[in-house]
Amino acid sequence: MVVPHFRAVVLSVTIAALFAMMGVAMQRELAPRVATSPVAVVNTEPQQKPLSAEEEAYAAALWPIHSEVVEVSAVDMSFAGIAYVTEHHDADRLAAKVMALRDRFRTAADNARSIPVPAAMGQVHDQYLEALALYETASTEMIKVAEDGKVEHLIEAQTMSQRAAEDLLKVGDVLWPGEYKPN
Amino acid sequence: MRNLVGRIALAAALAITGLAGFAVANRAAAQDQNCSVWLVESSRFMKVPMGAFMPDRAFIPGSTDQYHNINTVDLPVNVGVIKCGNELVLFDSGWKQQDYLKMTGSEHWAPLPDQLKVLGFDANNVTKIVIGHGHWDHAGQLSDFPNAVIYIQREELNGIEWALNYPNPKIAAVNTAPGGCRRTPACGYPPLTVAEIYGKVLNGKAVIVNGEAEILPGVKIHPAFRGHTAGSQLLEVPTSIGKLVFGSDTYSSWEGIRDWMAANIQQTDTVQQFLAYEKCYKITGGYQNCICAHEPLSYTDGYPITKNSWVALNGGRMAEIALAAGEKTHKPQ
Repeated sequence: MVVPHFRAVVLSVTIAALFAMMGVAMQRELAPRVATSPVAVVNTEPQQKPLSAEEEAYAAALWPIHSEVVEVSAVDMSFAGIAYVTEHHDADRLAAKVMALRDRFRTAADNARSIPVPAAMGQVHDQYLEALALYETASTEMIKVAEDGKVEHLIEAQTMSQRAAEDLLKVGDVLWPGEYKPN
Repeated sequence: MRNLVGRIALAAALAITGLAGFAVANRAAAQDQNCSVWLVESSRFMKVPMGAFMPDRAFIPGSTDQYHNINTVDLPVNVGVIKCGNELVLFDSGWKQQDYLKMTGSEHWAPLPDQLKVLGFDANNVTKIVIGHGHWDHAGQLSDFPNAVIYIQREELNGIEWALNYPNPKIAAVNTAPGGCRRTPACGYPPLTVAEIYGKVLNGKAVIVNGEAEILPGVKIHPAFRGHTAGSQLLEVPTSIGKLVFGSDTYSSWEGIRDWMAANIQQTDTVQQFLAYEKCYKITGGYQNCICAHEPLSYTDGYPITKNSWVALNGGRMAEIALAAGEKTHKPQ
């Protein structure tokens, strides 16, 4: 006659054990997996030789164009897009703004071409002019939004601008190392 | 009669088990409002003159004064990793070292997606990135988090745009000196950083914030305009150890908050920086839970909240700051 009581106890213990097992299993499944695989170590050592006097002169001549015109216009171009998307949605206003920036890129390229280029800086110089040409093309692409209102023009232009921005940094790394300080 | 007792015992056991399960689930749900928090060192700027970082602690050779006897400091670039339920949030996103952007004098950089991986997270699962401010070393790598929505203050964008359009080119320039810009209004916002922010806007992955915003239950953005830049912002995060406030460069130095000293002056109004310090005291009840971007004592006992730390990729450090209920440690055992 003790059996029913014993059964009940066994049954309740079993149910409790099952709940506990479920809990542990769920906890294990939901726990984050901490990866332990090694990841490549990045070499951060600078490996750059100093510029010659002639190259320094080239870097100094290009600096005002770069800092006062090109970088400002490049950032301004992104802002023109941000303002269009998040504020005014006025394609004609965007086009007018970007046309002015395109002119600035063209003028900057003309001025850069007029600087004497040391032989060793030929590749850097070409890269800089290519970046300016890319910005000009991106500007032209952005302006097309005034014709058909398609945001795809902006997306394509932004991709070009981002590539051009990387090119500016590549040139900057040669001509003005340490251009960006901790901010 | 005994049969009845047995049934009652069984019913009671089931009821207790059920209630216990409900209580556990309920407790977990209640504590889900707490977030788990880690700090990741994106890189370290080495040997920065103390006076450049904290003007009131400029080095005086031979001085034994604790405020003037440190010549240089190594500044970590700290990124917050915050997990609230299924949401994975970053506070700041560091910067991206490239073969063309090596940042001479910087060490221990590693890609943020790889750093997240060793923490047990996937960069694709980052849902939100709150940018404390838009400088290049805090708003980089955005393209590496394709699914993340960024949060940036309208005031930050307005501040940059104002500077760009200022008629004096020496003030409008993004960079004013080949060796690094000198705290001018648009200094610190290179074309690549802004292009990446614009990319997020174009792809519908940006929220332009106007002042306060609650991005998740209890996770709140507070404006700290001109605390470091025009549109700097803070992030309040509820955790099991109390509320934390992330401050990016408005909270560059934890010792600065503790000792009420300005730090890392850029486009900074020091009055606003001090008011932002006060905000942390008010929200957290002190200075211990203020999370700083460049505190040299980070990952050591000297900055207690970050002391549960370890060395990870390329010598960069990480710290586990708080765990929500049910969250297991991510610290390698």
